[in-house]
Amino acid sequence: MKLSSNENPHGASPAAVDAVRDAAAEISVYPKAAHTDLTAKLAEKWDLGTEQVWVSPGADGAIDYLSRAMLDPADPVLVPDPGFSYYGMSARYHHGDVRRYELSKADDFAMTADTVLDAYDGERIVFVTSPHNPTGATMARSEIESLLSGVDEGTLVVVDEAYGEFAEEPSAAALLDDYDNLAVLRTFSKAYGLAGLRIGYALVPEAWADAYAKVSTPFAASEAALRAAMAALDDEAHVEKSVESAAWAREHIHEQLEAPTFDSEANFVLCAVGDGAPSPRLPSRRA
Amino acid sequence: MIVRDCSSFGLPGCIRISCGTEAETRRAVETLNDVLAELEAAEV
Ligand SMILES: Cc1ncc(COP(=O)(O)O)c(C=O)c1O
Repeated sequence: MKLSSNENPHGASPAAVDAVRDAAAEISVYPKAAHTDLTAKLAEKWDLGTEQVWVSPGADGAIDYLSRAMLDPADPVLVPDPGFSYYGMSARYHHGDVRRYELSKADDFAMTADTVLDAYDGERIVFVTSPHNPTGATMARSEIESLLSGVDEGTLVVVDEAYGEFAEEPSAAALLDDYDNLAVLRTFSKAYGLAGLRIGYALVPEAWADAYAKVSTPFAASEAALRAAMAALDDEAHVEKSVESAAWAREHIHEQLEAPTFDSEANFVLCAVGDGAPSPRLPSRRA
Repeated sequence: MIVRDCSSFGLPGCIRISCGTEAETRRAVETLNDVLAELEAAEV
């Protein structure tokens, strides 16, 4: 039993699985129409222009696109500590520097605008993860607004909502109408159960219309992934079931585990089980 | 059973448990509680 990578325990929507099977007949053809169709569907879902939706191979791919669009050599990015390791990896692949802001265990890893701004020193990209991995904490939308207003012109705030479906907190995507220094990351890997297909996207400001063609690979996502993502979007019942099931599991872990746990709005729970000594019984994995 | 050891996140002593199905989650919590009890007994 593997409960280490925040995958969907219910798998993908059966409709998405069918879509992958159907796509098999056409995998000799480059994915073009399906890319346009998924982009249009997502633009409609988020009430944004199609040029504001950057489909990518997972949210990881979207992080790379943003690094490529934003970073010149030695440009610094600001990432949470603890936090998701790929922000820093991507920045380094693009010859950027990595700086960190601390989330404090003593403070239940609370994330406010000041948590970030106290460490902020003009970095080119600031990453916020909400819900946060691995803590499960969210940043309130009002705090994200304060952060967007508090950074310099020329800084992009990236709000990574890889676990957004599991949270009560509304998406920061609605702020894209008012701020042109915000990008929001979403993925089909978690609530939609498509981690193996590698499909996600960034939602970006309207002013960025031309940048996608410059930073994306010509065919960013596979035909199978694009079609599965469309089918998955249509199966709202599967997402609802996944979200409800995660909420139940969080409660169960909070209530029944005989160790302190942290409040989570994601599909995982951080638990303080030891004094910090290495625990050979609990092997580790990425993601 | 595999959960995520969070030492690499700079959080030694912490694990991250992904939400499983109801049956998986119940089993994970039971198993972890057993391990925690054993560790505690070994310390006394
Ligand atoms: C916070 C966060 N962002 C992004 C990702 C990347 O997801 P993917 O590339 O599978 O879409 C993950 C996956 O674990 C994550 O935890």
